[in-house]
Amino acid sequence: MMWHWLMAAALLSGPMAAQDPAARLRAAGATPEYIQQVTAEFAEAARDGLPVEPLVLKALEGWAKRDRVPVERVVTVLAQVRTRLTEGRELARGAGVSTPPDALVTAAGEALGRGLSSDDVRELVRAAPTAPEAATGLMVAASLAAQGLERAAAVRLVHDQLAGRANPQAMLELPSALADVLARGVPMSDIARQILSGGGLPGGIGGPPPGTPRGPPITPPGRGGTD
Amino acid sequence: MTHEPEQLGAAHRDLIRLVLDDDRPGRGVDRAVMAVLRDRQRARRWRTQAWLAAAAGLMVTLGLGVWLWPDGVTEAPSGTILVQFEFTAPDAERVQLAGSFTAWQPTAEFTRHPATGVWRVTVPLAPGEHEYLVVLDGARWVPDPAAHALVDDGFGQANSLIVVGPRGVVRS
Repeated sequence: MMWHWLMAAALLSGPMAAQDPAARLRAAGATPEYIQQVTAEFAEAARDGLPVEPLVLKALEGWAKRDRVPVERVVTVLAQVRTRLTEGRELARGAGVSTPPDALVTAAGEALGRGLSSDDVRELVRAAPTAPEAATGLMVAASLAAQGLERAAAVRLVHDQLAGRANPQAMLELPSALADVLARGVPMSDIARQILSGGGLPGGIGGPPPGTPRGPPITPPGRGGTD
Repeated sequence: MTHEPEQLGAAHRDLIRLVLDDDRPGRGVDRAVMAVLRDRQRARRWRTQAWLAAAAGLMVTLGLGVWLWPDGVTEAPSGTILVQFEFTAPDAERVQLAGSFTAWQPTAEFTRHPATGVWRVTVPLAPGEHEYLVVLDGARWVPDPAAHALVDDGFGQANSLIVVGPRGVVRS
């Protein structure tokens, strides 16, 4: 039991993530052929100044699922991830972050992959006081949308938190809070309605602090985004 | 009630000082005795409250320990929070956890609760979002129904998603 614990702890530690991507794939048992094909995508991303870690994680996942996922599919998915990272970086730049850190580029790319629109991404980045807070906000908004919350409501909830200078760590509680409200039997449509009216989650979680300017006009679903 | 000589001496000294300090006729002794009694009562109350606070603190700590670390894990590495996963798989012989936090290697082993048959594992996770799957008998990769959400893995299947906040994960 304990060695599993230690291994999990070791995998979480920074030095492991900082290790050479090929070495990490080798450590996971990937074949030289697999490593050769996926590292070409890593090199491409590095050349473009994009974060490589999301690609490495996806390649590790692809290798772990190799029984069902052919390497060609993994390479295709890596290329898609790279495209989203590029788009995420451009959106962050367009929202005023001239040199977006890797965490923000990664979060923007993930958010686009989970259905947030370009406008959503730009809006949240603009609302955030700092780039790390923008990254957290994007991640949380994308997670809330993945939980089934209407995209506009997810963006509004996070936007109000960012505009209200909420503690970024507290924003990470929102997905758990939403799950908790759902478990109490509150319909998702009611939750979305309350958020869009500026009231935060039922139970008073995630509402804007008193005196906070209300969020931006929310694009109705189905008409959102520029993509 | 018995008093240690040193305590008695200190009380007497306080009493004498208060009597001597009071310059109003006939008032000094009463006030001094009451003051000493009040001090003693206050000290006794403080001691009682301190003991109660210590006992309550111990109970909370033990309770949290049992709740958060039922696998015998006692400490989360710096910057991480212990998160417990539960999975019901009555027919499985082995249950493991694989995710972005294990480089997608099924290295975190669940243990089966002998009475309930529920499989549990506790892992340290950094605050943020994590994708994962549960691996049954080393072969079947299945999502966790208690996750916050399911997300497209890009390979035609779904991963479980949790977002770990500073206070851990609330899962229904």
